[in-house]
Amino acid sequence: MGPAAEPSSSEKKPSPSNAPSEYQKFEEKVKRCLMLEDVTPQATIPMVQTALGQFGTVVSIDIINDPLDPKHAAKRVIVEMKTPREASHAVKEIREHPFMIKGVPRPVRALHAVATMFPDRPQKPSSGTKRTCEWVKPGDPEWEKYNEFKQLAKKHAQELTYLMEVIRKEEEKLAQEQEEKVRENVKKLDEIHLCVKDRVVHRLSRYYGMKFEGD
Amino acid sequence: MANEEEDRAYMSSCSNEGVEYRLYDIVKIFDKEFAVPHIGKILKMWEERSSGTRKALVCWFLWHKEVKPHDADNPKELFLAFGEGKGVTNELKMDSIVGKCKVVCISSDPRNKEPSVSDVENADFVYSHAYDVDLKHTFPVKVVADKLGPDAIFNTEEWLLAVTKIEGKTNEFKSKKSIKSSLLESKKRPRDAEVASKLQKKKIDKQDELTTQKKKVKVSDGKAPIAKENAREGSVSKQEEMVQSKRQLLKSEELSRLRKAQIADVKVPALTDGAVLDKASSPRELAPDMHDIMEQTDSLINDIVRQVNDETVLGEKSKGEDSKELESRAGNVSKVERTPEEGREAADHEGDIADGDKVESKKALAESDFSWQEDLNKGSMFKLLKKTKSSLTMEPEKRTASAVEPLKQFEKRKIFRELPWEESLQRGIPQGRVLHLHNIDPLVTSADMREMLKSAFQGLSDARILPQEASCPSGQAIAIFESRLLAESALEAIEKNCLVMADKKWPVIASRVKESLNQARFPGHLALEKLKLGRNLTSDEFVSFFYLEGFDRIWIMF
Repeated sequence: MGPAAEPSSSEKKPSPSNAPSEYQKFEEKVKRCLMLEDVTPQATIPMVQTALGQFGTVVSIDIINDPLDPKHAAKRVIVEMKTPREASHAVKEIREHPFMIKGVPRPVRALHAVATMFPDRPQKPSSGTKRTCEWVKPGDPEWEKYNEFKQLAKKHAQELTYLMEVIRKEEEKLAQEQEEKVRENVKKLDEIHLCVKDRVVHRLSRYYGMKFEGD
Repeated sequence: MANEEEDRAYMSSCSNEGVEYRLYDIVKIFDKEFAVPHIGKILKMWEERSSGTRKALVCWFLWHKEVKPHDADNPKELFLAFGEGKGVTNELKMDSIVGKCKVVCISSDPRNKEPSVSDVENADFVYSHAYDVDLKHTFPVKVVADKLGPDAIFNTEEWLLAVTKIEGKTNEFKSKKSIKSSLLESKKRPRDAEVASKLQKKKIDKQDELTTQKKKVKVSDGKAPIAKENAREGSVSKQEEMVQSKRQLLKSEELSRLRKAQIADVKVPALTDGAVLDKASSPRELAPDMHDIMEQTDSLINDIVRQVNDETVLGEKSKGEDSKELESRAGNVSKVERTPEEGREAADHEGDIADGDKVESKKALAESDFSWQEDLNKGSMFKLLKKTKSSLTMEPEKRTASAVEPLKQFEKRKIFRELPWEESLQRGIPQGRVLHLHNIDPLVTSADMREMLKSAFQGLSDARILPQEASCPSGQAIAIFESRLLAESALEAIEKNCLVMADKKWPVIASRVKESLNQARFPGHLALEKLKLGRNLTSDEFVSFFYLEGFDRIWIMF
């Protein structure tokens, strides 16, 4: 979803004169923001607004999709509060008590925002040198070192994906169990309700010579 | 299969939708997943006796960009596919052939009939080399000629003649739906004479206003000059005139005004009526203009339904927006198509939705970007029209300038559901154009990333940093390429060598992004909705139920 009141995207290159101020503004904004993780993909901005409204004034909300799986993966939400104090208060509360949005029995996690969380942030003006990347070919002097790093990074990435998969499976299992339980409970309660509705309980009470007081 | 062979009745020429195709003709083939038609050479044609369907064996031409992505020598050059690999030739139904294509062979072999300079200029594409898909290199096409016969590969007299006669633009999509426009044409035919004369009159008026006049466009009064022009037609070769007139008109401002003024009267397909035809001027262009719009929207409608292989540099962003825009307007335009008064209505739509012009023109522009390099003087009428459409001020601008304008407009618009780049991502993933990069320095911004990767890889169309996992010390990014080939070659390069980010000196690793098959829902939602149906109470209302054995009361609390 588009941001409600985000600063300009990084497409525009700020002119050198107001570049520091833009970045400063950004940094100041970051202090007031918090990031919610593990938010259900069905959450909408008004929902989040009401949910976090209890901690203070919400200035803007930005829901970030996981680009690789925008519909089903958990979303992150960056919430900008009015003061840094409200933001830290919100984070603290959410950490201490399970906080649910949209009634999903899966609590969200809250973190203080960091600059790297904003994918469209303005560039830091102080770094005058342009970032470059270079190719290191097999014949070059440092090839061995980089190659080792690369292999290690690959290994890490694989491990990471494997772990994420395991976590996901556990989550699904837990969700299934909970759903089973809920179903059973609802069934039970439904039956009770039916009993009352069909006046079964009344008949039973008369049969047993007991009083039935209900409703 | 012996049966298959017996079933076939081979032909050396076949006519389809009014056009006669001969063996070894070069044709355009419509593929619903691609906005630009493929180009292929007919090697065989036959009719299956049992079913009556007509099929052709077509050998494909590869685009310059696919074969030589790094060179920028001749973007009009195509390469004939060759080899044992898959996809060199295909058997197709004749229905998918939408027309002949203006392609000539410029090989210097003595067996090849050299096309004239004007022929080469007029042609949309040229070829002189073939590409071996197994060995992955190009070689002169005469080798193939030795195999298949010189007639199969080189120009013949008839083919060169046929090329000059091919009307229309390479990119024009005469898809099935355009049959409607031809129906329209037939309806309009009785009005041809009067409409054409009206047009010419108007045209003359407009031309009077012009300051920049070039030879054919200089008209001062009445129909006499037109007649003169018509007379001149016969003398000068048709194609040359067309080219030059295109050049002139490109430089004149008249076109946009004319177009807008006359669009109501357009639908003059008086192309067959030579006497009335004022070739250099608007009718021809305007009619195809409308055709373009129709066909573009048709093709766009198809695109919306399926995924479009967008292989343009500019198109990525705008395409997402285009399809969304046009989705809403498609209803309008397709309705318009079906009325006999469509010319006028479409004009109204066009006039009203000025932005839509830009949208379409953007797409058209993007398409033309893909097909040709920046070369205003060459190319077909279609490209000319696209440019005129794209620039409302109608300067003989560079294409980049005009492209930037609409791009900015799109960025300002935020009426779309998804971010354009996300949509392009969704389109790119099933086509294998997207790479997932790991081990990126998390302090790098998306813009930095894009610049860096653009310098490192060829054909990168977009790059984004993915939101960082809280616990992960290194970042991830996504890179979208223009085509699958380019993505694969980038992947290979990363595997073979080390791409190291400056500053932190981390080597980047890449992996393909596969389409996520498991559409599992977010775990945690408890599907109570299903259970609630048909019941009066929800589980919220139940608090507890006590049944205490032995007691004489039963309490039920709600």
